[in-house]
Amino acid sequence: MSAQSLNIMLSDLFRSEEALARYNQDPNAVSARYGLSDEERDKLKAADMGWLYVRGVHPYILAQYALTIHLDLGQYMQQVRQATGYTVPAAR
Amino acid sequence: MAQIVAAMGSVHNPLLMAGPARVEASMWDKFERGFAALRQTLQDSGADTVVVISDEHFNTLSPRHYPSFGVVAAETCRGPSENWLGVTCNSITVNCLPELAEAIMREGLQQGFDLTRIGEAGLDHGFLTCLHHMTPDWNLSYVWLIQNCVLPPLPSVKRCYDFGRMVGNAIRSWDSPRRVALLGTGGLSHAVGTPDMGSVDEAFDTRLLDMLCDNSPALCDITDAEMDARGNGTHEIRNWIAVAGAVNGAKGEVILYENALGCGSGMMRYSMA
Repeated sequence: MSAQSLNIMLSDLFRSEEALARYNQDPNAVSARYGLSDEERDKLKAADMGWLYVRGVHPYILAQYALTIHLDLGQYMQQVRQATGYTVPAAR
Repeated sequence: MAQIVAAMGSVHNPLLMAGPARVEASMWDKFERGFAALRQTLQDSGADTVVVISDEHFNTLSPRHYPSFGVVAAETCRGPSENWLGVTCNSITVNCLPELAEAIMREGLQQGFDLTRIGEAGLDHGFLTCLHHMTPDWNLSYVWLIQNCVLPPLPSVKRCYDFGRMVGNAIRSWDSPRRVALLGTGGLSHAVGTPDMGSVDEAFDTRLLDMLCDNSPALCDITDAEMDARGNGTHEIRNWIAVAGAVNGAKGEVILYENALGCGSGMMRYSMA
């Protein structure tokens, strides 16, 4: 199953303060409206960026959502790298 | 007929929007000098119109609908759309030029490009970042051409070069006294939101800039796999390549290249004399 519902929902949230406020007020109802699975809903509520990345959320959308909710970008990267087993090349 | 009087490429890293507030001072000095050179190029050309070729980052377009090639045909647009750029949302209003947008759509139909008309659009950092420093008074007319560099499958690099050639023809055959500058934004090698975020391939960028300056036909041979290997944001080089296609083989020069702010950051201009 694709992550299209999550992609649409997260892009809607970072494009509209009102949509984000509605989600913050009632995340379960908004998640249901977009057809998220229970697991997707719970991982999004937990702002589990690593899981969402592996789930297939578009990286541009996920990173911009993180910025919009003022998640620290270093924390975002740590979660994504941990979830994917990525190691920064030593030469960098 | 309208003339293309300037043609440039520039990084559009969102960290640059807020300038020295977000960028370490000595590095900001380099970018400020680069933007100043682009600003001077624009002023010296006497341009009254800027056509921006950039992707859009899901602030106006969405995963629901994202055309391969689109043109914003509004009277005015506002931005920035993002609340994290360090510039107040929707504090910038620009005058667009729907007549030129229409002319490009018409020429596109003649040349096999069926552009999607975008009747209203919020401006995101892809459009705004360079111009925020190049035309801070926003006193020109603007047209935004959007290429899909973000939601695969993407148009081929050759298709983007040919798109640029069509756009150049459309401008030069438009019955108008307008003096038009082209600005392709984005790239160069970088990754956005992926585990390799922060990685830059300077050798790739140097080779690319050489090809852009030479307006080499080899630009059209760059593959998706080559760009994928340098990070998902690298696909934005399509916007520079479209500008290369628009300038009838003109040669260019590099104004700035820095491996900075997690991005292979370039600026260049073509000689349009």
